[in-house]
Amino acid sequence: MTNRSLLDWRPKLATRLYAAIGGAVAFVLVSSIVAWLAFVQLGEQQREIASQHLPAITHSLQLAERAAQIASIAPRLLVVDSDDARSNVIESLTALEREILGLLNLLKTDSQDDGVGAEADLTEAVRGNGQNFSSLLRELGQTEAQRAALEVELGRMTASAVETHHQLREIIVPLLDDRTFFLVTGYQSLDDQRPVPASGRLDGEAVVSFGALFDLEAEVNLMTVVLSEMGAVEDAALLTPLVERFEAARDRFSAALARADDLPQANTLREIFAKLVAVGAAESGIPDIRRRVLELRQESVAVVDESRQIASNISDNVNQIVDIKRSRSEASLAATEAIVSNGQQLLLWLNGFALAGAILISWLYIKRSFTTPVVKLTAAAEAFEQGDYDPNFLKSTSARSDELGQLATTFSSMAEEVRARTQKLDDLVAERTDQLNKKNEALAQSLERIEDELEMAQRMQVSILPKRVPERLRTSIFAEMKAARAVGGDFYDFIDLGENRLGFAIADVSDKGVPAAFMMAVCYTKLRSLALRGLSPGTVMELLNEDLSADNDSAMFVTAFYAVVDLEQGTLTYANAGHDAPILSQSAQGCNMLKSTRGVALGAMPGLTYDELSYTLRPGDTVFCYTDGITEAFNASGEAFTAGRLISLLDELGPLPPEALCAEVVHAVEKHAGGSPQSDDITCIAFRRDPEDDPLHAEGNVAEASYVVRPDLSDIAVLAERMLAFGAANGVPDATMRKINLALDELLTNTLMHGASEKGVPVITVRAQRRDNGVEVIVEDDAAAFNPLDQEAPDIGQPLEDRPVGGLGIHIVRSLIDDVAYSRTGDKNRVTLFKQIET
Amino acid sequence: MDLAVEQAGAVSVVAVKGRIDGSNAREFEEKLMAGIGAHETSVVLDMSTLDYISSAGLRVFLVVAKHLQEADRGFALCSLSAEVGEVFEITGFNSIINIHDDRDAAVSAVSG
Repeated sequence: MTNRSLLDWRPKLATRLYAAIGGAVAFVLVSSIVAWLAFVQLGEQQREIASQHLPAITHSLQLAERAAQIASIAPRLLVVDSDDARSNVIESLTALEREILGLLNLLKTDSQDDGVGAEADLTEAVRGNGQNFSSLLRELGQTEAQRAALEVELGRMTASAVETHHQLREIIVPLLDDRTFFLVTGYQSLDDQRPVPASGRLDGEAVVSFGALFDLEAEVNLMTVVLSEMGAVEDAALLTPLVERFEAARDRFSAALARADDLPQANTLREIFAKLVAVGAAESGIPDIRRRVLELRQESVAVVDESRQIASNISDNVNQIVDIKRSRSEASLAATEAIVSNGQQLLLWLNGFALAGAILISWLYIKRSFTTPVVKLTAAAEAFEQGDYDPNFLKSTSARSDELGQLATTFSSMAEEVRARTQKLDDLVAERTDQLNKKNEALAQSLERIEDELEMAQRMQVSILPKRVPERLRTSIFAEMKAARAVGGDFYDFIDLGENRLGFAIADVSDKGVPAAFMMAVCYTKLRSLALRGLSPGTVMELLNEDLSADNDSAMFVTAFYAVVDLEQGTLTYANAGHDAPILSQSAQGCNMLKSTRGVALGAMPGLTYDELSYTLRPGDTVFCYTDGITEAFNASGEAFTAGRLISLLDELGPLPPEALCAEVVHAVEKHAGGSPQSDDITCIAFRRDPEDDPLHAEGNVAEASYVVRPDLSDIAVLAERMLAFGAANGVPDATMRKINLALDELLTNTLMHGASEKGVPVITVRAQRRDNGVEVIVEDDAAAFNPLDQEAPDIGQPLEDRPVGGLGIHIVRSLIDDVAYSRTGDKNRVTLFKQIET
Repeated sequence: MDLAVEQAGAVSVVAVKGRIDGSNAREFEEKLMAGIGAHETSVVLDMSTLDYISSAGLRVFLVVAKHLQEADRGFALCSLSAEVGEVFEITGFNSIINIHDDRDAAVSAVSG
């Protein structure tokens, strides 16, 4: 292990962590900036495209403005009166016109205007209008110039008229004043203060009447006024009356001049007057010029109107162009805004992805840097704990330069150390275990050998015990033995003694195991040899006791019961050497202990005698012998089975065949013990004086017989055979008996099939009796209370499809049997049948 | 109890022998159904060698009779002993199952 300072330790992990976080932040920043730049550039491009519309719009607006200016400036031409002013106006209009044409060219700066369509048409219209406008302007200029010239001419003529007027008045007015003075004063004149001659006439001078002079002056004034009016009239229609007035005045002047023909100034007046007439002449005079001026004025007004109209058209068209440009610009702006909005979302997404990517990369990095090695270390620790640690497992982690790598290296070397130590210990344990196993094997072999031998001993022990008595004895005896250990101390025996006699014994050696088995074998052999000598039970016991107690160093003793039964007479003779008293089970009296003979256990002491007792068994009586393995079978709570319980059980079981009886008892004992280990050998013998010996078997002329039905439907046929035999023995015809048998079949089948309960298959007893002119049969069973007669009679008239399957049995019974009755007696069902003999 | 099935023309004739009671009714039912189930024919049970029958056996006859009636197949019995016949009478089975004196009569009855 390398020795590093704490300062070395810290930065490594921290650096990795900072690197992970910094990398993530940098990733996010870079991604954001890149995305932002891309977005900004895109937006800029769009903005630029949108902005290209602006100049076009600006130009359009300027164009509209110019058009409006033209429309407002043009009429001014009509009111200006100086050439300078006129040329100024025209100049500015020309400038505007040029500007309009220039703007029309500039309108093309709109990037999206392709020069066709409505906009192009409008532009073309504006252009056309602009050109029309120019020609109109030129026309207007010429007209106005012409009009101006005429106005000058008019002014000159008016001035001439005024001049002429003055000349005429200079002649006429002094003359008129003199005449007026002459008339008022009578003097010749203002200058000549001489009285007028009496003739009334002035000498030397043409006498001109006062009236003619007065008319001349008036007419001159009138003409001059009319001429001035002519020069200023604004309506050509007014010229004609003025011309007429002028001409009338002229004529009157001429007439007056004629009257004053004697005036020396008449010719002068006439000459001057001619000038005035020329000015006022309808042709080429003031009226004519004035008319032409008015015509030109009208033309100009029309041109101005037209130009105003054109300007208005230009304005309208331009406004339409502006609208188109504006809407296009707005669409472009909207598109730009959409791009901006989309770009914002895109930016958001890009940022999201960038963040997710950064987190993922950071996670992967952290996982690689921290989690993976830590997990590997943990896994290694777990594997090490479970003992399947692979030294190469941490190789990659150990290669890391950071402290986790160092930890892995340390762990690896530590693990190796521990593994080596463990290996050493394991080897040691394996060595010891091997030694132990060898010893155990040796022991097991010994034990197996012993067990084999014990098993063989038990097989031998069991094999020496008989299973059944010879068939020819036609008796019914059965024994059951369950040893507590491999070899037991209990035994039993059936011995055929000849002359229809059967001996049977049951015994229990005081100890258990192999010594007891030896003792049992000795005792069994000796008892059998003594019994076969035909000795009575008491004598057998006495001799056996002598024999066993003679050399009984081990102080073992044996309790035994030995009985001899005369199978013909049913006489049971027995002796009891300290054994549990057997139980006598009788259908009439129930179960009772056989009376004791009070003998002492065998082998205890020599010199003892053993009493004998006899009892005559009736058919069906059962003697049940047992060892204390039954009565002293304990259950888990330490309760013994007891003889009392055994008697109750046998009472309950009733007259079962011996084999069934033994099986039931052993089953009950095992059930009582539950799972508790068997404390002692369990042995029992049941001997029943066979019911076959009873009169039902048709031996002898007896009036009463009984039969216990086996829990098997096929036994009903056996019963039927016996009933036929009973009938034959008692003078009952087969036909009658067969009907009884059918009725019994129906009843018993029903009971056996439906009467079973937790108590087991019911025990059925059939008792037949010859009575009066018929046969009475009583059937009893211990099943739950059931009265078959309660069943409703079936409707035998029903058609096939409606007939129920079953329910006919009791109907058959009622039909075949004369009298059927049911009663419940104690815990038994009893059905009594009576059938008259049919003749 | 034994069964022997033979064909008499279009009719399956089953001869029943021995006893039928609670101990073998089930076996009888299985054997009989197997014997007649194989053919779509009418069935005659020859009972001349049937010694004994209890209600458990009758039950089988009822089951078989219903089965055959549903399959629209004829069914008849013949040659019943006095005792067996009496059981059929007591239970009314003689009125729901055709019973004939001999085999020929039964066969010709179900052939029609």
